[in-house]
Amino acid sequence: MNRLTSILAGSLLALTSGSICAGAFIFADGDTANRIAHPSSYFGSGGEITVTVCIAPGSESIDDMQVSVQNTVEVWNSREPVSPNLFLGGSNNIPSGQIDFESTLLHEVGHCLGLAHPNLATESGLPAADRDYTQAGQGANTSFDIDPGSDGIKGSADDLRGDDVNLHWFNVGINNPFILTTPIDSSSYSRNTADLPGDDTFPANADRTVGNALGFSNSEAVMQQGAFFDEDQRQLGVDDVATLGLGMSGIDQTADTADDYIPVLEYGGVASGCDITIEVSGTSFAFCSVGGSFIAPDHLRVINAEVQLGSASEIAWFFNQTPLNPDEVFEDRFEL
Amino acid sequence: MRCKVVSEPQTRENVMYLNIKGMRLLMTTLLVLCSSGLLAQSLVYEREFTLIAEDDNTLRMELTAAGILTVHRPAFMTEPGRHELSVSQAIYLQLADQLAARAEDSRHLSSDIQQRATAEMRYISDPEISRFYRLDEQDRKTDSVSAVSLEAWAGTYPDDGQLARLSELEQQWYQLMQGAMEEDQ
Repeated sequence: MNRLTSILAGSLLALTSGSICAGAFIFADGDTANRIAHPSSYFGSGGEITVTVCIAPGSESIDDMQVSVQNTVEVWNSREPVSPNLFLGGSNNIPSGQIDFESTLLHEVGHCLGLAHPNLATESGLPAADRDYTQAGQGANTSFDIDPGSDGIKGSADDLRGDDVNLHWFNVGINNPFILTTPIDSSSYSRNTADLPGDDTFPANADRTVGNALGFSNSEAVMQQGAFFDEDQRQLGVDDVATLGLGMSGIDQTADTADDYIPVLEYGGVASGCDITIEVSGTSFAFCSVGGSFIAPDHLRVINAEVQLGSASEIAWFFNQTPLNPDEVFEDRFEL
Repeated sequence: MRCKVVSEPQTRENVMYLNIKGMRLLMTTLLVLCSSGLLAQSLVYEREFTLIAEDDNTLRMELTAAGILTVHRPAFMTEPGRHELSVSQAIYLQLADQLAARAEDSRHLSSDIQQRATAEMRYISDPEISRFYRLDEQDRKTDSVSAVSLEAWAGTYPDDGQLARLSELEQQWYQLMQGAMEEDQ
């Protein structure tokens, strides 16, 4: 049996923070698996919540990134799942050998809204080849149990995961992260593996290889970790929308109740003091740094969210200059 | 042995320009380096950008005791490829001293950050891994120090001395790299 139990994970995991190791929502881990993180403006009351998004006044590349920041705001506001949402090579406007700034920013802003990687990703400490397995905690044996099952695809529904604690919210009885199930709340999305369809052994995640196997080519969750050259992923996948939507069902995790909220991201131009601040500087590739504050048991809101993307003198960024909504961009540029 | 570099004969022309005192100093330095195996050693700094899913996702710099700095910048960075620079041996010795000190005082760095981040509910996405180590004459790693998202955590916790010192070491490597890139231009 091709069972791989990683004992190496512990050594690198020790280098990461326990609370850094997140699930489908940041701040969730194997011991706090039910935690759901919400955008910064949510305190438990329903309705529209405004999340201001600004470019830090001290940032580099301010003019270059304006369009991408506004496109990112618009895409998260639309919450419209798109499949396929991966456009590679000649089907995008990115020169070969460059990394798309906008796709990276969309991913980081997702973290700043409370979303984590659906896959185990680098915070697991596992080697690159094993990071596509579905997000989980290590369980009682304190190591990840990873076996791709008979299909050989990591992150698919037949994975054998031993005592790993699932952190990925999946649609009940379906377990397909490329299909949106309504209502988006805990009646139709679950973290409990007992709610999987009969033959499934673990929740599938919205990795591109899993998508191909399920008939959704060139489709992947934006929150799936991993950036490639010449890759345009500027639109959300179903899993991104579902996870954000689950949070939007509020503290009671039930849709159409008084505590439901609608996050409205609002571009605030070049300014400080916003809910999410974006800065291009430094030598890191990209990260989102946030704090968390409890608003109810197992429910936190994000505070002090900052996205940092590496200086253009270090990273070969491609800055998209094609606005999704030309009128709005022109207006904002005019105001600037 | 790599020490043969030291024993290469100086040309008469070169030797003539060295005064006796300088020669003694040079010979003493080389003897010390050679006898201690230092010339066969090197210092390495690596930074793995794990968010990049391409195989070539690691920046690598190696500084030999002889003062040769080689830099590999992965393809997603500006000015990718190999860069090289000669620096004084004093820089090697300075970095080696700092590495040894950081290896000593950073032993609990990761667990300290972990505890603080958990207590203060801090989260930083998409970890990057910085590695500092020395390679001995048999290419064994010594004085090894690793840190996750060093720049990000140092920015989050500017009051943390361990983070600040290791971050400063990382910045020194970047300054060296800058010199190598300017040399290539």
